[in-house]
Amino acid sequence: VTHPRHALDEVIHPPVRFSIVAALAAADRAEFSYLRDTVEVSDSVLSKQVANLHKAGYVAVAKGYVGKRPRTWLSLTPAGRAAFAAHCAALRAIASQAQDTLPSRPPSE
Amino acid sequence: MAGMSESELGAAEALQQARQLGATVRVGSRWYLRYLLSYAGLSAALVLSIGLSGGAAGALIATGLFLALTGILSAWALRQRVWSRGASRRHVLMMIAWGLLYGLVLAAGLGWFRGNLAWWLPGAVAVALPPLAGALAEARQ
Repeated sequence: VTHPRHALDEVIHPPVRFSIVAALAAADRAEFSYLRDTVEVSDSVLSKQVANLHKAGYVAVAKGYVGKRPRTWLSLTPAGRAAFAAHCAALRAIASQAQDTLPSRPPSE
Repeated sequence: MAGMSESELGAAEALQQARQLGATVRVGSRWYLRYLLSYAGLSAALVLSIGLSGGAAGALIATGLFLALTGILSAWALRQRVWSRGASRRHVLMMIAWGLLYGLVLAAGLGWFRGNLAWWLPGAVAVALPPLAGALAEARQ
């Protein structure tokens, strides 16, 4: 039997990337600064991790302007949504294994 | 979580963190609910003003005021930093439904029911329905 940890997505697995993808999963799109504040990382860390996710085809990056201010919008691609759903399914399988292996009654002291 | 291994505990914590981040993003996207409610109110007021004003001048003033206020509303929406999941698609559907109902209520009302509250009041409610339905969908997120 294959352990569910083998189904974890290596691109999404690191904590900061997981947080970025989890936040974007609840949004159509989010501005760079919003994601930075929500995930609580620096601009440079977010830039680096978004670049990795973009390279994997999980995150789309769109640049534009609101008035004269430049804005960067981030969104999950369909591939990113599918990968996040599969990753969460693997996490649920791992977490539920603990429930399955717990004894039905506490062991006697 | 007694009995869980380190990886099992990590998986449960990661899932919990994902839920919390999702909730944070949904709270951040609540501006769209306020936008839709404002749009519903402005739409209803516009239809009532046009139908009951009794002249072209009143209709023009009401339309001008509506365009100015929705312009401000749109500028405010463009400044928002996050859009909730599915909001872009729902917004397009809402605008199509709104446009169709608005055209229908105005065409029939100006043709046959000028100044008739029995037409314009339900018409105002009908035109407000698409944004209200959108607001309901947004609130359920």
